[in-house]
Amino acid sequence: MAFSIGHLNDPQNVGSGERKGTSDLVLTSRDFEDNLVVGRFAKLDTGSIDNMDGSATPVVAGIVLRKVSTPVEDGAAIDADLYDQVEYLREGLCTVDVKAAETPAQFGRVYVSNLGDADDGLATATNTDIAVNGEFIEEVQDGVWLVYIDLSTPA
Amino acid sequence: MKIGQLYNLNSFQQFMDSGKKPGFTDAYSGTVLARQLTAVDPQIFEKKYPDLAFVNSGIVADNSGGYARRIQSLRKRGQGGFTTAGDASGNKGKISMAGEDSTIKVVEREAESKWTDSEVKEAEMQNINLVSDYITEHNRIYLREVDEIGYLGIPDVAAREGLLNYSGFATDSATGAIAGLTAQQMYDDIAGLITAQWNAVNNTAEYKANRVDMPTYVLNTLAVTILNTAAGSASVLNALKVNFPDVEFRSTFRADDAGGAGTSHTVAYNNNSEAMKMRIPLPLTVGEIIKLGSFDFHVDSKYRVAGLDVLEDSAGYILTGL
Repeated sequence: MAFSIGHLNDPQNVGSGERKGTSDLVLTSRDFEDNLVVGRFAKLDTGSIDNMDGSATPVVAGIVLRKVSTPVEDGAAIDADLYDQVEYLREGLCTVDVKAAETPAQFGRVYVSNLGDADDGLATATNTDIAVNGEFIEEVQDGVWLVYIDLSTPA
Repeated sequence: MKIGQLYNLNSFQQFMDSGKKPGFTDAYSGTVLARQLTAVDPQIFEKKYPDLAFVNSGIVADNSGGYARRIQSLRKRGQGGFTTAGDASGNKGKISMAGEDSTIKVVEREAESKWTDSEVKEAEMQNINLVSDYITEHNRIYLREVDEIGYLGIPDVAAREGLLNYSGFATDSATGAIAGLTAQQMYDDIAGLITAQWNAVNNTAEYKANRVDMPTYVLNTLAVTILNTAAGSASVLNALKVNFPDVEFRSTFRADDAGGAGTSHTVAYNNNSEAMKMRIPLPLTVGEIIKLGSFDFHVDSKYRVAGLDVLEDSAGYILTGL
Protein backbone atom coordinates (compact mmCIF):
# COMPACT_ATOMS: atom_id res chain seq x y z
CA MET A 1 0.00 0.00 0.00
CA ALA A 2 1.35 3.40 -0.91
CA PHE A 3 2.27 6.16 1.49
CA SER A 4 -0.50 8.67 1.87
CA ILE A 5 1.24 11.75 0.53
CA GLY A 6 1.46 11.55 -3.24
CA HIS A 7 3.61 13.37 -5.70
CA LEU A 8 4.91 16.72 -4.58
CA ASN A 9 6.99 19.20 -6.48
CA ASP A 10 8.58 20.82 -3.45
CA PRO A 11 8.71 20.10 0.28
CA GLN A 12 5.70 21.31 2.21
CA ASN A 13 5.89 23.89 4.94
CA VAL A 14 5.89 22.84 8.56
CA GLY A 15 2.60 22.08 10.22
CA SER A 16 1.21 23.06 13.58
CA GLY A 17 2.74 22.69 17.04
CA GLU A 18 6.21 23.88 16.00
CA ARG A 19 7.77 26.33 18.41
CA LYS A 20 9.79 29.15 16.91
CA GLY A 21 12.21 31.76 18.13
CA THR A 22 14.34 31.55 21.24
CA SER A 23 12.23 33.25 23.88
CA ASP A 24 9.45 30.75 24.42
CA LEU A 25 7.93 29.74 27.72
CA VAL A 26 7.34 26.01 27.47
CA LEU A 27 5.72 24.12 30.35
CA THR A 28 5.48 20.42 31.02
CA SER A 29 2.50 18.65 32.51
CA ARG A 30 2.45 15.14 33.92
CA ASP A 31 -1.34 15.02 33.89
CA PHE A 32 -2.91 15.11 30.47
CA GLU A 33 -5.80 13.60 28.58
CA ASP A 34 -5.06 10.55 26.44
CA ASN A 35 -4.97 11.48 22.74
CA LEU A 36 -4.21 15.12 23.46
CA VAL A 37 -3.99 16.77 20.05
CA VAL A 38 -0.76 18.48 19.00
CA GLY A 39 -0.90 21.91 17.39
CA ARG A 40 -4.16 22.95 19.00
CA PHE A 41 -5.05 24.88 22.12
CA ALA A 42 -5.56 22.78 25.23
CA LYS A 43 -7.27 23.67 28.49
CA LEU A 44 -6.45 23.09 32.13
CA ASP A 45 -9.20 20.95 33.64
CA THR A 46 -8.83 19.96 37.32
CA GLY A 47 -5.06 19.84 37.05
CA SER A 48 -4.96 18.02 33.74
CA ILE A 49 -4.11 19.34 30.28
CA ASP A 50 -7.11 18.30 28.20
CA ASN A 51 -8.46 18.80 24.71
CA MET A 52 -11.02 21.57 24.47
CA ASP A 53 -14.45 19.93 24.50
CA GLY A 54 -17.04 22.64 24.48
CA SER A 55 -17.46 22.88 28.24
CA ALA A 56 -18.13 26.39 29.46
CA THR A 57 -15.47 28.90 30.58
CA PRO A 58 -12.38 26.78 29.92
CA VAL A 59 -8.99 27.81 31.32
CA VAL A 60 -6.81 27.91 28.22
CA ALA A 61 -3.42 26.35 29.06
CA GLY A 62 -1.53 26.80 25.81
CA ILE A 63 -0.69 25.18 22.49
CA VAL A 64 0.40 21.53 22.61
CA LEU A 65 3.86 21.22 21.06
CA ARG A 66 4.97 18.63 18.54
CA LYS A 67 7.92 16.35 19.16
CA VAL A 68 9.70 15.23 16.01
CA SER A 69 10.35 11.77 17.46
CA THR A 70 6.77 10.74 18.27
CA PRO A 71 5.36 7.60 16.58
CA VAL A 72 3.98 8.22 13.09
CA GLU A 73 1.07 5.87 13.79
CA ASP A 74 -0.28 8.20 16.48
CA GLY A 75 -0.66 11.11 14.06
CA ALA A 76 -1.21 14.33 15.95
CA ALA A 77 -2.44 12.63 19.13
CA ILE A 78 -0.30 11.94 22.19
CA ASP A 79 -0.70 8.42 23.56
CA ALA A 80 -0.91 8.46 27.35
CA ASP A 81 0.18 4.80 27.46
CA LEU A 82 3.47 5.77 25.87
CA TYR A 83 4.18 9.24 27.21
CA ASP A 84 4.11 10.41 30.80
CA GLN A 85 4.33 14.10 30.03
CA VAL A 86 3.39 16.68 27.45
CA GLU A 87 4.89 20.03 26.62
CA TYR A 88 2.83 23.05 25.76
CA LEU A 89 3.62 26.62 24.88
CA ARG A 90 2.41 29.15 27.43
CA GLU A 91 4.10 32.18 25.94
CA GLY A 92 5.98 32.74 22.71
CA LEU A 93 5.86 31.93 19.01
CA CYS A 94 4.32 28.73 17.74
CA THR A 95 2.42 27.38 14.75
CA VAL A 96 -1.22 26.44 15.30
CA ASP A 97 -3.99 24.88 13.26
CA VAL A 98 -6.71 27.31 12.20
CA LYS A 99 -10.35 26.37 11.78
CA ALA A 100 -11.52 26.01 8.19
CA ALA A 101 -13.08 29.09 6.58
CA GLU A 102 -11.51 31.40 9.16
CA THR A 103 -9.63 34.35 7.71
CA PRO A 104 -7.14 35.62 10.29
CA ALA A 105 -5.36 38.91 9.67
CA GLN A 106 -1.84 39.80 10.72
CA PHE A 107 -1.82 41.04 14.33
CA GLY A 108 -5.48 40.11 14.62
CA ARG A 109 -6.53 38.65 17.97
CA VAL A 110 -6.51 34.88 18.40
CA TYR A 111 -9.65 33.08 19.53
CA VAL A 112 -10.15 29.40 20.21
CA SER A 113 -12.99 27.26 18.91
CA ASN A 114 -14.85 25.55 21.77
CA LEU A 115 -18.24 24.52 20.40
CA GLY A 116 -18.06 20.86 21.37
CA ASP A 117 -17.33 19.62 17.85
CA ALA A 118 -14.37 18.35 15.84
CA ASP A 119 -12.95 21.86 15.58
CA ASP A 120 -12.44 22.34 19.32
CA GLY A 121 -9.02 23.79 20.11
CA LEU A 122 -8.45 25.25 16.65
CA ALA A 123 -7.54 28.91 16.42
CA THR A 124 -10.14 31.24 14.96
CA ALA A 125 -10.59 34.92 14.22
CA THR A 126 -14.19 34.90 15.45
CA ASN A 127 -14.75 37.16 18.41
CA THR A 128 -17.58 35.04 19.83
CA ASP A 129 -15.12 32.17 20.43
CA ILE A 130 -12.90 31.89 23.50
CA ALA A 131 -10.57 34.90 23.56
CA VAL A 132 -6.90 34.42 24.40
CA ASN A 133 -4.15 36.98 24.68
CA GLY A 134 -2.44 36.31 21.40
CA GLU A 135 -2.07 37.58 17.88
CA PHE A 136 -1.75 36.06 14.43
CA ILE A 137 1.65 36.76 12.89
CA GLU A 138 1.71 35.12 9.44
CA GLU A 139 0.26 32.21 7.52
CA VAL A 140 2.73 29.34 7.30
CA GLN A 141 0.63 27.20 4.97
CA ASP A 142 -3.05 26.69 4.28
CA GLY A 143 -4.77 26.31 7.64
CA VAL A 144 -1.64 26.87 9.73
CA TRP A 145 -0.65 30.21 11.21
CA LEU A 146 2.29 31.38 13.25
CA VAL A 147 0.91 33.01 16.39
CA TYR A 148 2.34 34.81 19.38
CA ILE A 149 0.57 34.05 22.63
CA ASP A 150 1.06 35.26 26.18
CA LEU A 151 -1.46 33.43 28.30
CA SER A 152 -0.20 34.90 31.55
CA THR A 153 -2.12 38.05 30.66
CA PRO A 154 -5.91 37.92 30.44
CA ALA A 155 -7.41 38.45 27.01
CA MET B 1 -11.01 -52.34 -6.56
CA LYS B 2 -11.64 -52.39 -2.88
CA ILE B 3 -12.92 -49.33 -1.05
CA GLY B 4 -9.91 -49.55 1.28
CA GLN B 5 -7.61 -49.03 -1.67
CA LEU B 6 -9.40 -45.91 -2.84
CA TYR B 7 -9.87 -44.20 0.54
CA ASN B 8 -7.83 -43.96 3.71
CA LEU B 9 -10.55 -45.28 5.98
CA ASN B 10 -8.50 -44.65 9.12
CA SER B 11 -8.43 -40.96 8.44
CA PHE B 12 -12.21 -40.88 8.08
CA GLN B 13 -12.54 -42.55 11.47
CA GLN B 14 -10.10 -40.07 13.04
CA PHE B 15 -12.04 -37.19 11.49
CA MET B 16 -15.27 -38.44 13.10
CA ASP B 17 -13.56 -38.95 16.44
CA SER B 18 -12.07 -35.46 16.40
CA GLY B 19 -15.54 -33.95 16.66
CA LYS B 20 -16.04 -35.65 20.01
CA LYS B 21 -12.83 -34.25 21.57
CA PRO B 22 -13.14 -31.26 23.90
CA GLY B 23 -11.84 -28.12 22.13
CA PHE B 24 -9.23 -25.71 23.40
CA THR B 25 -11.71 -23.07 24.51
CA ASP B 26 -10.10 -20.95 27.18
CA ALA B 27 -9.79 -17.21 26.43
CA TYR B 28 -6.23 -16.52 27.53
CA SER B 29 -4.07 -14.29 25.32
CA GLY B 30 -1.36 -15.58 23.06
CA THR B 31 2.31 -15.28 23.75
CA VAL B 32 3.53 -12.78 21.13
CA LEU B 33 3.69 -9.00 21.17
CA ALA B 34 1.78 -7.47 18.27
CA ARG B 35 4.82 -5.49 17.14
CA GLN B 36 6.73 -8.76 16.69
CA LEU B 37 4.17 -9.84 14.11
CA THR B 38 5.05 -6.76 12.07
CA ALA B 39 8.30 -6.72 10.15
CA VAL B 40 9.73 -3.25 9.70
CA ASP B 41 11.44 -2.67 6.39
CA PRO B 42 14.99 -1.56 7.28
CA GLN B 43 15.00 0.77 4.30
CA ILE B 44 13.74 4.17 5.40
CA PHE B 45 12.09 5.66 2.34
CA GLU B 46 12.58 9.29 1.54
CA LYS B 47 10.27 11.52 -0.46
CA LYS B 48 11.77 12.29 -3.84
CA TYR B 49 11.24 15.44 -5.85
CA PRO B 50 11.63 16.44 -9.50
CA ASP B 51 15.08 17.48 -10.71
CA LEU B 52 16.22 21.04 -10.26
CA ALA B 53 16.52 22.28 -13.80
CA PHE B 54 17.51 25.84 -12.98
CA VAL B 55 20.50 24.81 -10.92
CA ASN B 56 21.76 22.98 -14.02
CA SER B 57 20.81 25.69 -16.52
CA GLY B 58 24.35 26.95 -16.92
CA ILE B 59 23.32 30.41 -15.71
CA VAL B 60 26.23 31.74 -13.68
CA ALA B 61 25.64 31.86 -9.93
CA ASP B 62 27.42 35.02 -8.88
CA ASN B 63 28.48 35.08 -5.22
CA SER B 64 29.89 38.61 -5.26
CA GLY B 65 28.37 41.22 -2.99
CA GLY B 66 28.47 39.45 0.36
CA TYR B 67 26.43 41.49 2.78
CA ALA B 68 25.61 44.37 0.41
CA ARG B 69 21.99 45.47 0.37
CA ARG B 70 21.88 45.81 -3.38
CA ILE B 71 24.06 44.95 -6.32
CA GLN B 72 24.77 47.40 -9.08
CA SER B 73 26.08 46.41 -12.48
CA LEU B 74 27.76 48.65 -15.02
CA ARG B 75 27.71 48.08 -18.76
CA LYS B 76 29.84 50.22 -21.01
CA ARG B 77 29.54 50.89 -24.70
CA GLY B 78 31.36 52.93 -27.24
CA GLN B 79 29.53 55.60 -29.15
CA GLY B 80 30.07 58.09 -31.90
CA GLY B 81 31.53 57.58 -35.35
CA PHE B 82 33.64 58.85 -38.20
CA THR B 83 32.67 61.57 -40.62
CA THR B 84 34.20 62.58 -43.87
CA ALA B 85 36.74 65.29 -42.98
CA GLY B 86 40.22 66.49 -43.65
CA ASP B 87 43.20 66.61 -41.34
CA ALA B 88 42.68 70.20 -40.27
CA SER B 89 38.86 70.20 -40.08
CA GLY B 90 37.09 70.86 -36.85
CA ASN B 91 34.03 68.84 -37.73
CA LYS B 92 35.59 65.40 -37.61
CA GLY B 93 33.58 62.59 -36.17
CA LYS B 94 33.94 61.88 -32.46
CA ILE B 95 34.25 58.63 -30.60
CA SER B 96 33.50 58.46 -26.91
CA MET B 97 32.31 56.09 -24.23
CA ALA B 98 29.04 55.77 -22.37
CA GLY B 99 27.77 53.59 -19.61
CA GLU B 100 24.53 52.38 -18.06
CA ASP B 101 23.78 50.78 -14.74
CA SER B 102 21.39 48.23 -13.39
CA THR B 103 20.62 47.47 -9.77
CA ILE B 104 18.96 44.60 -8.01
CA LYS B 105 18.09 44.35 -4.31
CA VAL B 106 19.43 41.64 -2.06
CA VAL B 107 17.14 39.77 0.31
CA GLU B 108 18.28 37.80 3.34
CA ARG B 109 16.51 34.51 4.01
CA GLU B 110 16.80 32.45 7.17
CA ALA B 111 15.47 29.24 8.65
CA GLU B 112 15.88 27.54 12.00
CA SER B 113 15.68 24.05 13.42
CA LYS B 114 15.28 22.99 17.01
CA TRP B 115 15.75 19.66 18.67
CA THR B 116 16.34 18.15 22.05
CA ASP B 117 18.74 15.46 23.16
CA SER B 118 15.87 13.05 23.84
CA GLU B 119 14.48 13.58 20.35
CA VAL B 120 17.86 12.80 18.81
CA LYS B 121 18.25 9.64 20.88
CA GLU B 122 14.68 8.53 20.21
CA ALA B 123 15.17 9.06 16.48
CA GLU B 124 18.37 7.00 16.69
CA MET B 125 16.21 4.09 17.83
CA GLN B 126 14.65 4.26 14.35
CA ASN B 127 18.10 4.61 12.74
CA ILE B 128 17.38 8.24 11.91
CA ASN B 129 20.20 10.70 12.37
CA LEU B 130 18.07 13.69 13.22
CA VAL B 131 20.74 16.39 13.30
CA SER B 132 22.28 15.24 10.04
CA ASP B 133 18.83 15.05 8.45
CA TYR B 134 18.02 18.58 9.57
CA ILE B 135 21.14 19.96 7.93
CA THR B 136 20.51 17.87 4.81
CA GLU B 137 17.03 19.36 4.56
CA HIS B 138 18.33 22.89 5.08
CA ASN B 139 20.49 22.30 2.01
CA ARG B 140 17.81 20.54 -0.01
CA ILE B 141 15.18 23.20 0.65
CA TYR B 142 17.74 25.93 -0.06
CA LEU B 143 18.47 24.44 -3.47
CA ARG B 144 14.78 24.10 -4.26
CA GLU B 145 14.21 27.72 -3.24
CA VAL B 146 17.04 28.82 -5.51
CA ASP B 147 15.39 26.86 -8.30
CA GLU B 148 12.04 28.51 -7.62
CA ILE B 149 13.54 31.97 -7.29
CA GLY B 150 15.44 31.50 -10.53
CA TYR B 151 12.44 30.34 -12.51
CA LEU B 152 9.50 32.17 -10.96
CA GLY B 153 10.78 34.47 -8.25
CA ILE B 154 9.21 34.56 -4.83
CA PRO B 155 7.65 37.42 -2.88
CA ASP B 156 10.30 39.95 -1.82
CA VAL B 157 12.89 38.67 -4.29
CA ALA B 158 13.41 40.19 -7.75
CA ALA B 159 9.86 41.55 -7.88
CA ARG B 160 8.58 37.97 -7.92
CA GLU B 161 9.98 37.39 -11.36
CA GLY B 162 12.28 34.74 -12.72
CA LEU B 163 13.33 33.28 -16.01
CA LEU B 164 9.84 32.04 -16.88
CA ASN B 165 7.89 35.17 -16.03
CA TYR B 166 10.35 38.03 -16.39
CA SER B 167 8.38 41.04 -17.58
CA GLY B 168 11.26 42.41 -19.65
CA PHE B 169 11.29 39.45 -22.05
CA ALA B 170 9.23 39.66 -25.24
CA THR B 171 6.25 37.31 -25.10
CA ASP B 172 4.34 35.40 -27.72
CA SER B 173 1.38 33.05 -27.53
CA ALA B 174 1.49 29.44 -28.67
CA THR B 175 -0.84 28.18 -31.38
CA GLY B 176 -2.57 26.21 -28.64
CA ALA B 177 -2.05 23.72 -25.88
CA ILE B 178 0.42 21.02 -26.85
CA ALA B 179 -2.21 18.27 -26.65
CA GLY B 180 -4.22 19.84 -29.47
CA LEU B 181 -1.37 20.60 -31.85
CA THR B 182 -0.20 18.67 -34.87
CA ALA B 183 3.42 17.59 -34.96
CA GLN B 184 4.19 20.30 -37.48
CA GLN B 185 2.54 22.95 -35.30
CA MET B 186 4.60 21.79 -32.31
CA TYR B 187 7.77 22.08 -34.34
CA ASP B 188 6.76 25.45 -35.76
CA ASP B 189 5.91 26.89 -32.34
CA ILE B 190 9.25 25.97 -30.76
CA ALA B 191 11.30 26.74 -33.86
CA GLY B 192 9.42 30.03 -34.23
CA LEU B 193 10.23 30.94 -30.63
CA ILE B 194 13.95 30.36 -31.14
CA THR B 195 13.99 32.13 -34.48
CA ALA B 196 12.10 35.13 -33.11
CA GLN B 197 14.61 35.44 -30.27
CA TRP B 198 17.58 35.03 -32.57
CA ASN B 199 16.19 37.63 -34.96
CA ALA B 200 15.61 40.06 -32.10
CA VAL B 201 19.30 39.99 -31.16
CA ASN B 202 20.62 39.64 -34.70
CA ASN B 203 22.37 36.42 -33.73
CA THR B 204 24.63 38.22 -31.23
CA ALA B 205 26.51 35.31 -29.73
CA GLU B 206 26.19 36.40 -26.10
CA TYR B 207 22.45 37.06 -26.32
CA LYS B 208 21.33 34.43 -28.83
CA ALA B 209 19.29 31.68 -27.12
CA ASN B 210 21.17 28.49 -26.42
CA ARG B 211 18.60 26.98 -24.06
CA VAL B 212 14.86 26.39 -24.26
CA ASP B 213 13.17 25.49 -20.98
CA MET B 214 9.64 24.19 -21.28
CA PRO B 215 7.04 22.33 -19.20
CA THR B 216 7.82 18.67 -18.60
CA TYR B 217 4.70 17.52 -20.42
CA VAL B 218 5.69 19.57 -23.47
CA LEU B 219 9.18 18.06 -23.65
CA ASN B 220 7.78 14.58 -23.09
CA THR B 221 5.26 15.10 -25.89
CA LEU B 222 7.87 16.49 -28.29
CA ALA B 223 10.05 13.45 -27.60
CA VAL B 224 7.38 10.91 -28.55
CA THR B 225 5.55 12.70 -31.35
CA ILE B 226 6.82 11.74 -34.80
CA LEU B 227 7.22 14.78 -37.00
CA ASN B 228 6.26 13.07 -40.22
CA THR B 229 5.34 9.41 -40.13
CA ALA B 230 5.77 9.14 -43.88
CA ALA B 231 9.33 10.38 -43.69
CA GLY B 232 10.73 8.22 -40.92
CA SER B 233 10.62 7.83 -37.17
CA ALA B 234 12.27 11.09 -36.14
CA SER B 235 10.45 12.88 -33.34
CA VAL B 236 9.68 16.57 -33.20
CA LEU B 237 12.34 16.92 -30.52
CA ASN B 238 14.87 15.13 -32.68
CA ALA B 239 14.16 17.47 -35.56
CA LEU B 240 14.57 20.49 -33.30
CA LYS B 241 17.88 19.16 -32.00
CA VAL B 242 19.16 18.52 -35.50
CA ASN B 243 18.13 21.91 -36.83
CA PHE B 244 19.23 23.85 -33.73
CA PRO B 245 22.41 22.01 -32.73
CA ASP B 246 23.56 24.78 -30.39
CA VAL B 247 20.33 24.79 -28.41
CA GLU B 248 19.68 22.54 -25.43
CA PHE B 249 16.05 21.58 -24.82
CA ARG B 250 15.18 21.14 -21.17
CA SER B 251 12.13 20.86 -18.98
CA THR B 252 10.93 21.95 -15.58
CA PHE B 253 7.68 21.37 -13.73
CA ARG B 254 7.72 25.04 -12.74
CA ALA B 255 6.84 25.94 -16.33
CA ASP B 256 3.67 23.81 -16.21
CA ASP B 257 0.22 25.33 -16.11
CA ALA B 258 0.12 24.67 -12.39
CA GLY B 259 3.81 25.35 -11.88
CA GLY B 260 3.32 28.84 -10.62
CA ALA B 261 2.85 31.23 -13.52
CA GLY B 262 -0.76 30.25 -14.22
CA THR B 263 -0.41 29.24 -17.85
CA SER B 264 2.50 27.26 -19.21
CA HIS B 265 5.59 29.27 -19.98
CA THR B 266 8.34 28.19 -22.34
CA VAL B 267 11.42 30.37 -22.47
CA ALA B 268 14.29 30.60 -24.93
CA TYR B 269 17.33 32.28 -23.39
CA ASN B 270 21.06 32.58 -23.41
CA ASN B 271 22.84 31.57 -20.22
CA ASN B 272 25.87 33.76 -20.89
CA SER B 273 26.85 35.98 -17.95
CA GLU B 274 26.59 39.01 -20.26
CA ALA B 275 22.88 38.23 -20.57
CA MET B 276 21.89 37.16 -17.08
CA LYS B 277 23.27 36.06 -13.72
CA MET B 278 21.79 34.35 -10.71
CA ARG B 279 22.87 36.51 -7.82
CA ILE B 280 23.41 34.72 -4.52
CA PRO B 281 25.73 37.12 -2.70
CA LEU B 282 25.92 34.85 0.32
CA PRO B 283 25.44 31.15 -0.37
CA LEU B 284 23.89 28.89 2.23
CA THR B 285 25.63 29.41 5.55
CA VAL B 286 24.82 27.14 8.45
CA GLY B 287 25.37 28.76 11.83
CA GLU B 288 26.67 27.25 15.02
CA ILE B 289 24.51 24.91 17.01
CA ILE B 290 23.33 26.91 20.00
CA LYS B 291 22.47 25.20 23.25
CA LEU B 292 19.38 26.77 24.75
CA GLY B 293 19.80 24.36 27.65
CA SER B 294 22.10 21.43 28.28
CA PHE B 295 19.87 19.22 26.14
CA ASP B 296 17.98 21.77 24.06
CA PHE B 297 19.52 22.78 20.73
CA HIS B 298 18.93 25.37 18.04
CA VAL B 299 20.57 26.05 14.68
CA ASP B 300 19.99 28.77 12.10
CA SER B 301 20.96 28.86 8.46
CA LYS B 302 20.80 31.74 6.08
CA TYR B 303 21.59 32.90 2.59
CA ARG B 304 21.33 36.17 0.75
CA VAL B 305 19.80 36.26 -2.69
CA ALA B 306 18.94 38.90 -5.24
CA GLY B 307 17.40 36.51 -7.73
CA LEU B 308 17.82 36.33 -11.46
CA ASP B 309 19.51 39.50 -12.62
CA VAL B 310 18.57 39.85 -16.28
CA LEU B 311 21.14 42.19 -17.75
CA GLU B 312 19.89 42.12 -21.31
CA ASP B 313 16.15 41.93 -21.82
CA SER B 314 16.40 40.73 -25.40
CA ALA B 315 18.36 37.64 -24.27
CA GLY B 316 15.12 35.86 -23.46
CA TYR B 317 11.83 35.22 -25.23
CA ILE B 318 8.73 33.65 -23.70
CA LEU B 319 6.08 31.51 -25.34
CA THR B 320 2.92 31.09 -23.27
CA GLY B 321 0.07 28.63 -23.39
CA LEU B 322 1.86 25.65 -24.94
